[in-house]
Amino acid sequence: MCLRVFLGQVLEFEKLMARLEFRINQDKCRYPKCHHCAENCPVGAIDFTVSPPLFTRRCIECGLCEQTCPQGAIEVDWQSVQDIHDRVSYPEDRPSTNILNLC
Amino acid sequence: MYRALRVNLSTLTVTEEPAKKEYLGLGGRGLVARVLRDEVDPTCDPLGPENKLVLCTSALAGLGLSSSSRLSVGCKSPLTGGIKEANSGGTVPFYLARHGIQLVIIEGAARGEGPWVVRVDARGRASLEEAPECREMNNYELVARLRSRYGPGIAVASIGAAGERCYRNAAVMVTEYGTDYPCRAAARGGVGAVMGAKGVKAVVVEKPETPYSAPVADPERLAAVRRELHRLMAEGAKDHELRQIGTVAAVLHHAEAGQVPVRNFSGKRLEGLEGISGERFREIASRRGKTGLPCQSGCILRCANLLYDQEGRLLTAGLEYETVALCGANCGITDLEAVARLDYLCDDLGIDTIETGATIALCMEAGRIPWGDAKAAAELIREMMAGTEFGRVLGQGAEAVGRYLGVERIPVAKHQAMAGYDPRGAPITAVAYATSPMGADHTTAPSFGVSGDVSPEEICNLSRNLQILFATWDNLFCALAAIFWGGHLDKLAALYAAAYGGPAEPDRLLDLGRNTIRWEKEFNRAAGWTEADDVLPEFFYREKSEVTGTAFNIPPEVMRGTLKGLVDKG
Repeated sequence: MCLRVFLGQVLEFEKLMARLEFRINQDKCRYPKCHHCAENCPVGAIDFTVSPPLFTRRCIECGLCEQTCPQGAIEVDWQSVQDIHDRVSYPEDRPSTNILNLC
Repeated sequence: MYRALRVNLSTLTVTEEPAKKEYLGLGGRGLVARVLRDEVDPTCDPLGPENKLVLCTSALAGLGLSSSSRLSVGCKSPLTGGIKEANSGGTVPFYLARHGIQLVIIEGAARGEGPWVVRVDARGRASLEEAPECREMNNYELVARLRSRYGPGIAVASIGAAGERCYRNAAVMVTEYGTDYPCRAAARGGVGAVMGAKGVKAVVVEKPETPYSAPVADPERLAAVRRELHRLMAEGAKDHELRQIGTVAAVLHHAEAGQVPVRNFSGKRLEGLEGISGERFREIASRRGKTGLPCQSGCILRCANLLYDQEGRLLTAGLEYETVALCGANCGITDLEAVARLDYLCDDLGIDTIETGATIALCMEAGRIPWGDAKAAAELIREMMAGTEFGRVLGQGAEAVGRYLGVERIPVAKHQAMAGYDPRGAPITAVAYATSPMGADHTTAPSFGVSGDVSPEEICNLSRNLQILFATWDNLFCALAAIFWGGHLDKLAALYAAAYGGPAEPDRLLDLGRNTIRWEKEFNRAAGWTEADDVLPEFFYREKSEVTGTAFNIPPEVMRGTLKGLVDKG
C-alpha cells in the first residue's frame, strides 16, 4: 500500500472518530463558587484561568465533568455525533426491516 | 426525593409517585428484586399482563460518581421462569437520575398494538406516544428514527424485532454515551421479550433542562470521598488493559485457565484462538477503531470500543469478551471481524449474544451448519430477523433449540445458556450458575480458576461470598468499577453514608447484597423453584477439560448449601 493511500485511509477513519465537543454554559456555571468539574477531572483538562473557561486538548471526553456538575452547565454538542452518524455507513448487508409483519 | 413512574399499557396511562421510603438506599438489582417481590405474583405468566418490567438506576446514580450510572432492567424471566435482572451502561440511567426518576415500572399489556414509546421530555414530563411506524424495526434504524423525531442527544432503551416477537433471547438495548449507538445491552433472561409483550418499543429520555439534585446527608463529605475514589480509579485505570483493549483483553488468559468455552463447551483447546484474542483486537482497533471510550457519561475506566471495516463501514460498537467467547470460540469461529459482524447483527435485532452464541454452537453440534462457519452463523441470526419458522425457534434460547435439534449436551443452568466461563475452569462461577437466583449468569460471581487443592465446600463458600459481593456492586455501580474500589469498602461505606445518612459501615453495603439475593430466592421459591433446580448439566461431570485435566466435580448436594442461611434468615 503506498503511503498516500495509507494516509488517506487514516484521515478517513479520523473523520469517523471526531471528538465530542464539550462547552460550559456560562449562564448556569457558578464558578468560582463551585468547581466540582475541575476538581474531579482525571486529566486536569478544564482551564478556568481564561474567560470563558476552556477544555484543553488533554480532555479525554469521559464526561465526568458533566456527571459532577450540579448545575447541568456542561453541555455536549450532540450535533457532532449526529454528523458522524450521517457519515458512517453501516454493514452493507444490513437487513431491511418492516418487510415482515408477522407478530 | 426521587420519584417513580408507573406506566400502564392496559389503561395507557402514566402516573407519578414519590419513591417509597423503604426503597431508599436500594438501587439496581436490589431495587428490582424488592419491587418485584412487592408487586408481582411469582407464579404469573412472564409474558402476560401480570408481569411487570422494572427499569431503575443504581443507588449511586446522579451523585456525580464515575461508573455509577447503571440501568437495571428486571422482570419475571420468560427464559428462566424465575426473577431476572440484567444491567447496562449507556445514557439512559444518567438522564433518568438527572430527572429525579429512580424507577420506571411498566405494567399491563398491549402486545401487538402500538407499539408505544414511553417518553420523558426535557422538563421531566412522562407520556406514552404511539409509534406505529417503528413496528418490527431493529435498533439501529429505530434509534435513528427516534433521533429525528425527538432530536439528537436523547437517551434510548429499546427493543428490536426480537423483543416485539417475544423471543426469549431478546435484550433491551441502550444507547451509548458519545456514539449514541444502541450497543449497550441489558441482555439476559429475555427482558426484551417482556418489554415487547407490554407493547413498549422504547423508553426515550430527553436531557433534562434543569438537573435534579438529589438531597444527600452530607454533601461535603460526599464530594471529598468521591474525589478519593476518582483518584483511585484514575491511577488504576491508567494503563489498564480494559482501557487499552476492553473486556476482550481477557480471552487468552481465560483460555489458559480453561475458562473460554470451545465448540459447545467441549472442554477442548481451540486452534487459532489468537485470531480472536485481545492482541488481535488491539491490532484492528489501532488501525480502524477506537478503544478507551466511556459507555456512560463520566466513566474514568472507559472500556468501550468501536470497530470499522477496511472500507470504513461500522463493524460494531461495544464488542465484549462474552460475545467473543460465545459467538467466537464456542462456535469455533476464530476471525474477530466475523465475530464483530455477528455482534452488530445481535445488537440490531436486540438479542443476547451469550444466549445466541450458545444457540449457534448447538446448531453446529447438531450438524445443521459447519463448525467455525461465520457466514452460516450470520444466516441463522438473519433467520431470527426475518422471523422464519426456524428463526422463531432459534429465538427461544439455547435449551429450546438444543432439545428441538436433539442435542444431548446443552450447556444451561436454570434454562439459561452459560456465559464465557467454562465450569471446569471456573468452578466458583459454575457454583453460582447452579445456585444463583439469576441462573447461568457470570456477573453473579465472575472468577478465575482456583489453584491447588481446594475442597468443594470451600469453593461453594467462596462462591457464596462472591455472589454477595457482586449483588452489592449490582446495587451500587458498574461491577467493573469494583476492580479499583472493591478493596476500599470503608471508602464506599463512607460515600454511601454521606449520601443516605446512617453509619459508615461496610457491612451495611454487604447487607444490600445479602438482602438482594434473599428477596430473589424468595421470589423464585414462590415461583416453584426448589433445591433440585440448583444443578449443572451432567456432561460437565463426565467430560474432562483438556486444559485443566479435570471434570467438574462439586457434588450437587454440596452446591445446594451455598446460599443457605441467607435465605432462611428473616
